[in-house]
Amino acid sequence: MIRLLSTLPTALVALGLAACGGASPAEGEGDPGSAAAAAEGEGYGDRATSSRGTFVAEVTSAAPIPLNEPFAVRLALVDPESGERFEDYDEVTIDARMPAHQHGMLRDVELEPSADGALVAEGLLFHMVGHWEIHVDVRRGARVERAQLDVELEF
Amino acid sequence: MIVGLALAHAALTPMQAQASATEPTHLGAYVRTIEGLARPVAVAFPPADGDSEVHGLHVAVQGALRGEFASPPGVVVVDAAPPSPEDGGADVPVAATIGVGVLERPTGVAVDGSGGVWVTDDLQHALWYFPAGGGAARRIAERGSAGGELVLPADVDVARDPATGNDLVLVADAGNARAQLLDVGATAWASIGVGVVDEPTSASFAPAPDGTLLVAIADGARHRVEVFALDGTHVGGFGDWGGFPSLLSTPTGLASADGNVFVADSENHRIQAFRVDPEDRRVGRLAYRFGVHAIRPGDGAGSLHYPSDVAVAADASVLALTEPLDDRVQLFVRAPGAEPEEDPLRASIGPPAAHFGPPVAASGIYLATVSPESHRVQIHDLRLDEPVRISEAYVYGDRLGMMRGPSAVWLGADGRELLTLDRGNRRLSRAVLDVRPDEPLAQDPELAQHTDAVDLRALTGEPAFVPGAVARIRREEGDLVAVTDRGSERIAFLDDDLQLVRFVACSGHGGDPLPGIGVRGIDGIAATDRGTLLVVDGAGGRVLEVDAEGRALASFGDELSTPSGIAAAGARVWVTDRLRDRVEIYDRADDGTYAHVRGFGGRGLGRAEFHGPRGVAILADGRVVVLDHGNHRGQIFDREGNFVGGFGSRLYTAELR
Repeated sequence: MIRLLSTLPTALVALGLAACGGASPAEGEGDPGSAAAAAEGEGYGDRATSSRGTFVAEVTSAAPIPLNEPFAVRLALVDPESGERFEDYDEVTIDARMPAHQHGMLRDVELEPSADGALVAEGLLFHMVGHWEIHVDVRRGARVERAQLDVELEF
Repeated sequence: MIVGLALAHAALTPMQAQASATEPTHLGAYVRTIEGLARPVAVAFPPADGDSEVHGLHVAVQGALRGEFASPPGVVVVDAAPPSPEDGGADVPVAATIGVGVLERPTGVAVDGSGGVWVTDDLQHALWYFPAGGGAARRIAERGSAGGELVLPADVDVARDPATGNDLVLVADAGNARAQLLDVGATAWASIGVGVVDEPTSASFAPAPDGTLLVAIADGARHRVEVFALDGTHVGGFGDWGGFPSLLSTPTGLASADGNVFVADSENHRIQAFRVDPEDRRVGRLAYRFGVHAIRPGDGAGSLHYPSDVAVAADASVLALTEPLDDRVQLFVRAPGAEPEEDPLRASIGPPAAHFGPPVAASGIYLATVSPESHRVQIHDLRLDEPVRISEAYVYGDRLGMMRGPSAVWLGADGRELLTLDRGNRRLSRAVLDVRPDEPLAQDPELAQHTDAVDLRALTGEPAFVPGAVARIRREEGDLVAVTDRGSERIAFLDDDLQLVRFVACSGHGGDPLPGIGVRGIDGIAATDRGTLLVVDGAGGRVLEVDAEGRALASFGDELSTPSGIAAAGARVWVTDRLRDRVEIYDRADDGTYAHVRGFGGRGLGRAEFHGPRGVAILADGRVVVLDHGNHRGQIFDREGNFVGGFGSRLYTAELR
């Protein structure tokens, strides 16, 4: 099973764990802190293991993801074995697409380091309701590996 | 030697004949076709101030090195003067042939002021110079990535520097992602376009409005033309990927006249003329365009089919273009008006058939094909007699999950794993497909999840890595992914994490070749059930079996001329032969040798007839799919080679039904 969607009744979004190649961790595995805390509140939070199990990406937002309004997310990369911060990479990017519609966001966003060591991206904007994929791509040397989170944006 | 060429002729219209020098005119009125050329890929006219006849059209033909249709690669010179209305349908005599016995796969041609002919050869990674009068040929550049070295050179142009009076030679160095400029007088090379162009398919000098000389480079990966000053300064560029006017789809040829740069817009099947001015913020603005895709197979007389190169005579009286897939050159002359009158019946018609790119892959009941128009990989379900497209993977771009020209595909794990080579980004990408063979047939736009990718140049340390073919080798000691490098004729073996295990030389280019190998023009590959790899030696006309260490185990294919695609299941091997339009079938014996079982084919549109067959793939139930590239269709056969079905557009599949 590649896609797994589950609905959170307290938020406007349905959250999902994306796991490919059998690398899906059990829910809550690793450091559940920020993602779980956000999910229990009014904001957005989700985590996904990368396709080859190299890292876990936690993406959180203080508020629910809005429709057609800019929003910011925090990204934390975690080593799936040690639970420590994952830093063994050359580059990390974040992007989002609607696969069924074959398009992405109408803007590019950049990740900036924050004081607490996490990464922050501002200005994401989901301009349509429906299924969005958040892509966290980490490049280590010649290779790029993806962690994918699924968002169902509803009215 | 080619001694005579058939000619198709269209009488000049009264409007053309009455064109006055005072009226605005344009280049683009079809006038004649030179047929019977053996895969013509490039054209050039001599300069105005040269010693050669101004209408002496030099055509680089790739021919076929061996087999029943063997014809020598070289340069054919014909008279391409615009015919008069009473010219009739006279044959076009071959005035000369150049480079026969020296050239192996010419890709570009240019003529200098002394009548000397410059030719690029991508099989040899060479630039050749043939002096006028038949003097000894000189090889100017060798394979490599340093200054003055080339990898897979795609085109050449010559001009005289108006500032110094020196002759200049410009080479599209495709493998090294740059052009190289040789100042013949100073014997100095300079690189142009590094970091700007990804896949230079053509390079040409272009005069600027102020009389200076510019360099234009066509980028097949980014579908643009980039413009530079002679000192290498990037002036700007024009074009982007698409089919609307002014957009480009794999530009492959450039020529200048009338202040315009003419672009062979190959996958849009047209020529576009851009007015180039470095002072204009857009650098190049569309002046006009001509040419539409053929409606019926083989249509010509102004209908175009993958034009690969374009040249304009120095007096700007005639334009020539090559169409290698149709073995012809078409000529166009001047006509009244600033731009061609568009045929209202054809104006809104794009290509009448969806095209398939050369590769094809199969696993379980699923089939993967490539759409050159969309840069996407199409996934088909073949549980019925004909494929049903259920999804598409990748979009155009350079991020993970995006492609700039998918050039090879491999499908495995009963359709759940997709490996794709991306020639523009020089990358191997992997996706998992959420196929559900036990559920009712359904389309799923979200079938593919893009998991990871690897930059093949960075991984291998080979700066001119040009990905060619991909296959996964199943082995008890761990799978390997094999990726061929056309630039160095090597095979990179990767582990399941896409890390490099070894990089095996198949020729003398990338190090000492292993014993028994010596591939020239590596093409398709296929993994066998025994954990070995079958490697198509495209120019050598044979197939090699190698183990995962790269050691040669067997060689076969005496029947083959220009093999391309290959697939294996059990002891049976299928090979396509692109120039012979045939498919050959082999069986492996217990002693490890291969015997020819049967073959079929021939040029045509009927069942088991082909036009440049390329990829071949085998489904789990034994059906075999042959990608009939030039006919824009696929044909399906049973295990014994009996025709069972076809797919593609109606115009090209009517005779199959």
